[in-house]
Amino acid sequence: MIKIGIRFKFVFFTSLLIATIGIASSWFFSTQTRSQLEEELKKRGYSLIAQLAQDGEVKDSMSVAQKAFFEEPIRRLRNLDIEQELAYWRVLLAQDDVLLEENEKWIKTEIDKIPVHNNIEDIIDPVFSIFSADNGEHFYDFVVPIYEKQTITEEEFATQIFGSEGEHNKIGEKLLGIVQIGLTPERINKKMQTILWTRSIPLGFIIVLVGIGVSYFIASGVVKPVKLLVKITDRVAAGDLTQKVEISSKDEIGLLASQFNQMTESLKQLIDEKEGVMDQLKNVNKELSSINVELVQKNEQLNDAQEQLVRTEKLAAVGTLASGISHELRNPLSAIKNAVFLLKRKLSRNVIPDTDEKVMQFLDIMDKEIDRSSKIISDLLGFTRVAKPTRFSSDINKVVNETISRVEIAENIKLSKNLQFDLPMVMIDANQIGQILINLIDNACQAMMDGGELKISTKVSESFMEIEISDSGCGISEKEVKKIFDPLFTTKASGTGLGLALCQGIIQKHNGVIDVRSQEGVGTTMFIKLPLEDKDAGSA
Amino acid sequence: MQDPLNILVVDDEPSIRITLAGILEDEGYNVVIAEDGYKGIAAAEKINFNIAFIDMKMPGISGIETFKEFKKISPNTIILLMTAFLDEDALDDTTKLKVQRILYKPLDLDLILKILRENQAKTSILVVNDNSSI
Repeated sequence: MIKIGIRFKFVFFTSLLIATIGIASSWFFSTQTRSQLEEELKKRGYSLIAQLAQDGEVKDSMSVAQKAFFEEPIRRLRNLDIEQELAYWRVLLAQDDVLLEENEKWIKTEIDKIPVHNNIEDIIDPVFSIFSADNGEHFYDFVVPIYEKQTITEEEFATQIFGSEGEHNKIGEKLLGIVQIGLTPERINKKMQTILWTRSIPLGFIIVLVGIGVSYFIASGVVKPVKLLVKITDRVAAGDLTQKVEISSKDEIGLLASQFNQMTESLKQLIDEKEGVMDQLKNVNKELSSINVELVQKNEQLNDAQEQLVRTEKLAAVGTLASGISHELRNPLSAIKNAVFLLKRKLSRNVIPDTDEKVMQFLDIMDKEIDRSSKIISDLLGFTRVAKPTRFSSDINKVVNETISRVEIAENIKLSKNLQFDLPMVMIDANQIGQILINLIDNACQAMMDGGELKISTKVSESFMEIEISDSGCGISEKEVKKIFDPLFTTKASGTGLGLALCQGIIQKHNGVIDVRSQEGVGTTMFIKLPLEDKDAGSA
Repeated sequence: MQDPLNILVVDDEPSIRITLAGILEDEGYNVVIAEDGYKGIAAAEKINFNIAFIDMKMPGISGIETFKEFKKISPNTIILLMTAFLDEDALDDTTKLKVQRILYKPLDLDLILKILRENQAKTSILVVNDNSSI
């Protein structure tokens, strides 16, 4: 679609208007000029025919009906015709005889084609008419009656033509005939043509040009700010609300510009407000999300705390029971042990007759089983009263290495250590941590009765010292792995189920974490995390 | 050969009292038994014991109190406190009182006899390394 700009429309219609006015006015003036020229031609025609009518020679020649006498008046007539407009002349006698008829050579119409007036008696006054020939030529035709006695003056004659003041009396005068002449308006046409080509058209052209120029100039004045407005509107529409229209004129365009600026300003304010609200919403949303996250965390913590509480209660119950039983069992055990000890001594010193080897053997079994019972009780007691750790700044790698040297590792188990060099010192009870490591390494070895790989590694991770002990043993089932820290839970035939519970108790007293990851048939990894900085560590 | 050591065994549990005394007598020491702290203290007033095994938890007067009284009467006696169960408060008390050694039940008799034998000559400096400290 072709866009027709406001400037083009303005220039086009303004030019059209100016051209129309120009054409109309030139038409009006040329018509005026023409009618003026025609009037002048008419006057000249009357003047010429009046000359003839007053010419005595004409009257004489008509009286005698002598054609030859007309030569002189015609010559004079032609002399008078300075503009050379005289086209033809004819003299008609009262008896309807054409005395003379001639025409100039340069007219196209023959004289005999020009009508002859009949009933010439009826023609009292000079008669004017316009005759149009078949070939398109026009003639101003003048007829005047010629009387025998000419009494009127030229002035009187003129009066008769141009507004007569009453009929003059011609009664008693003898009509000789009429004289007819024709004048051509060709000269006027030519003159009009000349005027048209030399003045009207160039003038019209100039008017149109000037009109276009002026309207273009005016249009520019109007269109320029509008175009600016359009440009700015485009930018505003594209989102740049900082744009301002700088038009200071005090007309409608200026008003439009200032209102446009106001509109942009309020739009900007609205958008800013909207963005502000959006930001607030986003913040609120963020806050809500973080609150939600916090809630979820708190919920998890609550669950953990609850589990911990249940666990602690369970532990406390087990602890109370265990310590009571332990105390009560230790005395009888101690007595039995003493008794067995004495019996064995006595037997070994002097063999009593009738006693076979089995007596000694059974006493040994008793002794061993007493020790085992004692061990179980010790474990129980150890678990129920994890002493407050006596913490000293220690090198964890040293603790690990010492522990490894104290533990028996089967030959079919490959030990690989990955201890991070240059670890920071940690505040721990080295005895207790050692005890845990022994426990974990024992467990790992027991899981790899058919051999495997035992990996022990230490490293610093964030604000924790991490110890990892992993085996390639049988692993623990998903169901069981959750319970391994529960007291009295065991997967071993001869276990008390207190080892890992004890480990957890110790680690908790160090404000650390112990965790497990296991996959059946692949192996188990135990993680210990001890805090590098601990506010409780200084109270050792 | 020096005179055998005089040893006092104080424990409310008769089976322990009797078996421990039996073992020590079998080893050749002079052993006196007492079933509670008061009787132990009373015995100490008559006999000068080189060594006393005192149970910590007894009805009436406790092992710790007995220990305190004992030190007043017989400061040179080496006192070994025996316990089946040691709570931390009791441990703190024994640390303050400079108890030579705490023995845990069941007792490691082989070790005790070995040390007694080795230290018979130097009764004033008894070292019992039973490796059972917490």
